[in-house]
Amino acid sequence: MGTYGGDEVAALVLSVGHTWTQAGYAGEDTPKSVFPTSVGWVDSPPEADQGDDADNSEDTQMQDVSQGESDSNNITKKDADGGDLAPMPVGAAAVPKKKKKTLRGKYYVGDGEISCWRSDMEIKSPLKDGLVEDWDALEQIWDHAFLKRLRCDPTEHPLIITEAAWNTREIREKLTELAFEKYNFPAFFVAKDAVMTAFAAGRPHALVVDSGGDMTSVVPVYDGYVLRKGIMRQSLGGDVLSEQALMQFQSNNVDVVPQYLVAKKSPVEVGQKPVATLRDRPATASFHKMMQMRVIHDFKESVCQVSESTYNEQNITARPQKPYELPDGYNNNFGADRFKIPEIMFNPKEFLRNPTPEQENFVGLPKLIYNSAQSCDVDFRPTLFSNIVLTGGNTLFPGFADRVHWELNNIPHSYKVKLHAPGNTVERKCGSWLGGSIMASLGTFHQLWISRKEYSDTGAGIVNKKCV
Amino acid sequence: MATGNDVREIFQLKPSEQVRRVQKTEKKPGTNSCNGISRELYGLIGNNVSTVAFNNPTYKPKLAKGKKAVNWTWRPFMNPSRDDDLTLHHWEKTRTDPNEEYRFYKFNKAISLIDFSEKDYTAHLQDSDWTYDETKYLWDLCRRFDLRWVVIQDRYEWPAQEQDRMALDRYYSINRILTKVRLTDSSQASEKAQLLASMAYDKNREIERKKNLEILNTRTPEQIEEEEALYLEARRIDQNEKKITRERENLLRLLNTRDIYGPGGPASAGLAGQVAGGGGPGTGIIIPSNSITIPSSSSSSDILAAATLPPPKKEKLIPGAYLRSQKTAPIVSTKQQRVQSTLVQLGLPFKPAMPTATVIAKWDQLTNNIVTLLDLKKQVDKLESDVKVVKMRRGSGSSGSSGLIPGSAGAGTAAGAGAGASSAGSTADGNFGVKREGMTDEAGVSGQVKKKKKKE
Repeated sequence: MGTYGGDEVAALVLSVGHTWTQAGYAGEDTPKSVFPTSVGWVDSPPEADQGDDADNSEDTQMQDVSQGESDSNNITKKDADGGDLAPMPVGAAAVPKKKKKTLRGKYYVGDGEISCWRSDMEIKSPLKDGLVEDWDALEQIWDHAFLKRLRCDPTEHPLIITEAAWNTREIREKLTELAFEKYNFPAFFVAKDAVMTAFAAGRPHALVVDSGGDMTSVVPVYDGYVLRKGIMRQSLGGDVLSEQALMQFQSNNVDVVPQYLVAKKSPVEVGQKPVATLRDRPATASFHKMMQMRVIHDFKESVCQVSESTYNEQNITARPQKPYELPDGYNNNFGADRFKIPEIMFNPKEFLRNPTPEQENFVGLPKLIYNSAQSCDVDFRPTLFSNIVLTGGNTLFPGFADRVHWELNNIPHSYKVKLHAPGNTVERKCGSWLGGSIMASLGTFHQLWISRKEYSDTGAGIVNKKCV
Repeated sequence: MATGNDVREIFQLKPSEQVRRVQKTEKKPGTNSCNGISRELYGLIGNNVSTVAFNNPTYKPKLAKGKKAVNWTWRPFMNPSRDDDLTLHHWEKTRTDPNEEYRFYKFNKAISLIDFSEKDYTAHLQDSDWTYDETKYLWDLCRRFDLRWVVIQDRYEWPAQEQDRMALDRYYSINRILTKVRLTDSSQASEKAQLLASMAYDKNREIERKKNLEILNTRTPEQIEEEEALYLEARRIDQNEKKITRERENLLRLLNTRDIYGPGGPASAGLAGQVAGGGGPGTGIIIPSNSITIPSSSSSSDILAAATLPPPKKEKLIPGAYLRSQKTAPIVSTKQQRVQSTLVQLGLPFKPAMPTATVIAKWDQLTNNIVTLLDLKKQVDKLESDVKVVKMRRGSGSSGSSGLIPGSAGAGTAAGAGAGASSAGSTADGNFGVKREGMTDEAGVSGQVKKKKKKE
């Protein structure tokens, strides 16, 4: 037991990413629970919510606890309202939400809950650019993870969470407050997700390339510390690719109809108009968008691929096509189009359709990696180049790692490039969670926890001292 | 493999008594003594059991019935590395010693930094670029990040100036000063010198080094290509020079005209020739013309004298009885094939049929001559091709006057000079024109040799 330096203290590991939240026990190799970070919100709950009695009771219980919270929550809500502008409410739910301290509406968390059609359910994500914006929604996620999924008593377990490398001091302090004030964890720690990913890959120094849903970031890690000056990120991630894929469908006059609208479909020939009976299910724009994105997500997973070397239209068209069928029965064979979507990651200037002003400044991923390494100390660069770690769901396109390697070797420099991209998809998707799981089960780590006593002595600011 | 028994079986005969007996005897040791060895292996090694013990691993873990299960308990523990009373719980083997220290406490290590007070600072460490507070801040960072300079430079946030790059310099200079001031004891002089040496840090040199490294790492592909091309060129020049020198030396050794130049002559002549030839680097092999003409400028009698075959080697005595045919002088293995093919051309066998003393002596002489002949022929070929190249380069119609063309001119001189040549008309095309009867006496061959040399 002592040989590998492990000492299990039954710590909980929580990693809230933009798309997925992962929660589990330290020392395990996969998170016990993975569910979407997006939450559903119905402003005034419909009378007599069907069959959710158990949930309701638990929810109200937790609401009681949250009522006991200090006025810090009020500040949060102002923030949340500001950030709420992004998903534009449509139809019945368009009434402006006036949130009070007591939650008037109802949250829905978990895959089964949010993908269930409710006419006035808004979908929102608590994170923006990797930073927490909507604290109510985040609390719902924590509740769901600890109380409904892991079903544990928070007072018995230390908690380690991961955060983006560019997280702000205020957010970390607030997270610390949340952990100690609301959930009464005995000990708490915040770790940088890039460091944890490097840890999971078994590297003290690494250049962590994390391409997730809303963001692609490159973070240099030196001996377990993030080098802040080298962090490069841009909001070009899987969601942008999905948007672009949607645009591609629309430009071909194909309407992507999500599953929840399809009552019946009959088979049609390749490329023909779908023959399907649709349900009359009015929904909010954000819900419809999410469901559309799920279809596109599946499309990306099953069809899209990255060209292993520089994109060449001729070579690409010579490669085999792949068939795909949308939920409403429309089906087609995809040739060059399936390569064009992920190509945006490498050549955004050329492949982005209708770019917004922000998107016009995007650079290709290899350039981003190169820039990040270049902004570090010249003596440290060779180490970075030989320890590039790929993580995040958006890197799972076939050929992605090959292409990154190819492109990096095409940029003039004299470093040896070595890429670490775990073949195991779970490792690639849950890299940061896995690192947290390893770290929190090490005997030498237990001196680093922020304990309840330290918190009550020093205040929430201690997190900025102890978790650097 | 089919045994006699199998054959009998095929022909449906009764197995012979003998075979049966053999089978019986074969089986016996197998059943008796192959303990732990598979039968196939025993069939191979028989009774010669190896000295290494055969220990067949058993993969089934055995249930340790006698052992008692180890007791584990879920108990709280405190970590002495912490300065608070955080109590966590873990499973551990039930303790015998209740006061056992936390196992991972020993890994809690902190670096040791030379510390200083404000008084020290005002006395020794004043620096125009630094304030006391900032220096203290730097020290704090050093302790916090355990002297990881990459991290310290990254996290350095002092409002006044941007001098994270200078932090390392400051750290070492303070260390040096404090070491100098504090280690005043003369008995520690050597230790002090060592410490000071380990703290040497040259700021300017470090900046220069990083700058150069930066330049080195950001070369464009064209620059790298050019650099590589230059490197290859340099290597080629180097190699060619060696090759040319070696070839010339070989030739001179063969002609035994080394004494003409004196020590170091050929090499310097080669270099001079290369320069005189005007060939740029990378133009391939250059045989300078003057080095070829030097031997011919000396009198022909000298060359003839020099060209006599090397003196026969002293006979080695082979201990014990031996066949005379063994005494034939060995031919260098790389040349063996060509010598043999020449022998075939001459219609001779590879080995003399009747190795009497005289025959062997003659035979040795013959093979020696053939080797020399082949060497010379090779040189001639090479020189001729070089001459061709030189001529082509000059590209003039004056080629006829130089007298160096192989062919009619060469054959003419050969006919004049060859004393014992049995046939004329030998050219560089590999037909030696040596008749069979001519081979037994050396005159035929050496005549050829001389002829060749004359041509040069």
